[in-house]
Amino acid sequence: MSRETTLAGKVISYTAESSAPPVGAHVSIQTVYGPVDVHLGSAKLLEQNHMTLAAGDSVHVTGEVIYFGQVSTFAARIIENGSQSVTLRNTKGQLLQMPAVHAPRGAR
Amino acid sequence: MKRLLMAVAVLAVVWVAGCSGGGSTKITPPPPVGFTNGSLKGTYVFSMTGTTADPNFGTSSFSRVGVFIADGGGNIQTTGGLEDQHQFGSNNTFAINGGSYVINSDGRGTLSLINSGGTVQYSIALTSSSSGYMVDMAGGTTATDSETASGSFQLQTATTIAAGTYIFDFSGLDPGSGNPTSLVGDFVASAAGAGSFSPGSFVDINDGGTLTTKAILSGGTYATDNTNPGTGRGFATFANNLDYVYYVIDSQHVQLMDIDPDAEGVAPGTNIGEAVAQQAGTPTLTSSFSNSSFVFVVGGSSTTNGAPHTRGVRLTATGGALSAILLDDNNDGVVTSIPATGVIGNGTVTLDGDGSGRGTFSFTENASNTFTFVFYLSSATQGVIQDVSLVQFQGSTIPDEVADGTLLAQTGAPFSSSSLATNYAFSSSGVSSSEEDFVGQFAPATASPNGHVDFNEPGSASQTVFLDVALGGVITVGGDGTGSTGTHSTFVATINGTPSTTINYFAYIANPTTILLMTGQSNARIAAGVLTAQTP
Repeated sequence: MSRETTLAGKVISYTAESSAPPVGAHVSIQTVYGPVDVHLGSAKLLEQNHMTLAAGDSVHVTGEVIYFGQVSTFAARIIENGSQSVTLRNTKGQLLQMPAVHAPRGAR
Repeated sequence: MKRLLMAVAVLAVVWVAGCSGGGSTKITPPPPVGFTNGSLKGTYVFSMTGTTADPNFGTSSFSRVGVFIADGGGNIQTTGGLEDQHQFGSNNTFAINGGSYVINSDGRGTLSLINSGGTVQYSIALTSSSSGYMVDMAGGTTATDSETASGSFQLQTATTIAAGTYIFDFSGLDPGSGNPTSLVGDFVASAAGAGSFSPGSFVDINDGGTLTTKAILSGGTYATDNTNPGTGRGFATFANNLDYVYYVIDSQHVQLMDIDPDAEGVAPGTNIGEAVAQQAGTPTLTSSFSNSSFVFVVGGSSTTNGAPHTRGVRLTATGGALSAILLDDNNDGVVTSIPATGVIGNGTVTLDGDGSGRGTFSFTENASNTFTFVFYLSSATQGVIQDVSLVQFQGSTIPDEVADGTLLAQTGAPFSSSSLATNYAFSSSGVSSSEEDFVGQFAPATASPNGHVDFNEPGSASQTVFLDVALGGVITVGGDGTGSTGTHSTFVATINGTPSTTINYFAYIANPTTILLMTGQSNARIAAGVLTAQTP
């Protein structure tokens, strides 16, 4: 995350489940540079932290631009909405995940 | 006499204290199954995966694999033990410098393993003197606990890989992206001890919803770690630079864990799993299937929103046709049985027939419910399986979950309460408000509560680690127990804590000794588990 920067802007739209790469939650925010697509990762993580994103919300997003083939997006590590802050990636840039179900191992 | 009374009083206080972790008001002694400290003796390979938290890294999954040596008298040997661990993007190796354990007569017990990082406390349940289940209780009994994990351990009887074909199932996080991943496949070990992965090695990957079908895995190498002799530890590099550390369990089983470094030289991947030697007589043609019934439970997470997801299936294969198909789906607490009543009457099964053991199950309920699973068989009765079902999602076709599990043939049917009247070890892992892991034991033939359970749930409001909580385990056999008419069998775990909790599972009976579980109650926890008959 050495190329990290912080964007400030207002939410244009929020999608909890986008099929466009990278899959997961995206928020589009209006910044002084124009609209920016921000990849948030797990919508469940936002939900778990009781963060909602609505059009017009003023947010700050810390992260960096990443590329998926010809598509680029701003990968958020931390998103702040008012006094709320949720960490979405670790300092290595990896998405934090909701715990998954572990199927039984050692069953023979 | 006075001293004796004092001793009895002290023992009574200790007993009550030991059983009060879950706030239980009723104390039941463990049933006399017959395990002792001597039941845990020898070198055991252990593995687990779980969730941990840190102020800098947030919540993250982690994995652990290694060996410990039990002396049969309650002590862990101070030398010879070893542990590899992935946590917060780091790959660390610790020597196990000692520890202790206590095994109750019901096979439950506690195990502490000491390494340079400290002491980790586990709750365990033996299925035999050769194997058992374990839950990480590292956080103690306070709300500051921030770690839980579940796994198993097996007696080690060999320390070098035997040559041959192995079937594997690895799951965890992708080393590069951190996405949930599942890898199932086979590798062909060219020689005992050290060698290369021969042609015929393949892997199917679901990496955060991106499928790779039957990629060639041959070309890498493996070798014993000579710096830690006698541990069974080694290193394997598969094609495409997939790097794993492994511990040999016996001539048929190897435990592996991802240690791939990424571009920054860290090792964020947490993939972990077991490889099982493929047996002679493993079917290569679908004509081998003759009224062959299978059950499986896959666990993982949704590709679209990261929510926990599990599925259970039973089906019957005859030639290339499937019948009597029943699927239960628990997607983030939304439980759906497909079909709602009865069974799906037809589907298809394929086998690649190239020695890999690879094949597929496919079936459709209606246009919106088509399911496909890829499997690799290690024998006629066992394999690994990955969900590759696709869904239409906002104009695209994507896999709807990243999930895998164990495939087991259904044998010994019909099942009845009397055929399942043995003692069972109970292991379950899933998600409520956060990850939670259970390990316990119960005797279904006795009055409820009929066992005890320990569990760790870091997301709970106050206490996170619960010990010696009375458990009422009830298996209800539906119909003949096979599910072939759409009648479910169930396992209900009533946990007499404060407050009391009831967990409702669908029970997929493979045979009287192994029952796969998935939670089947809407708006509740999402979990998978297993009941394994105990043989002291």
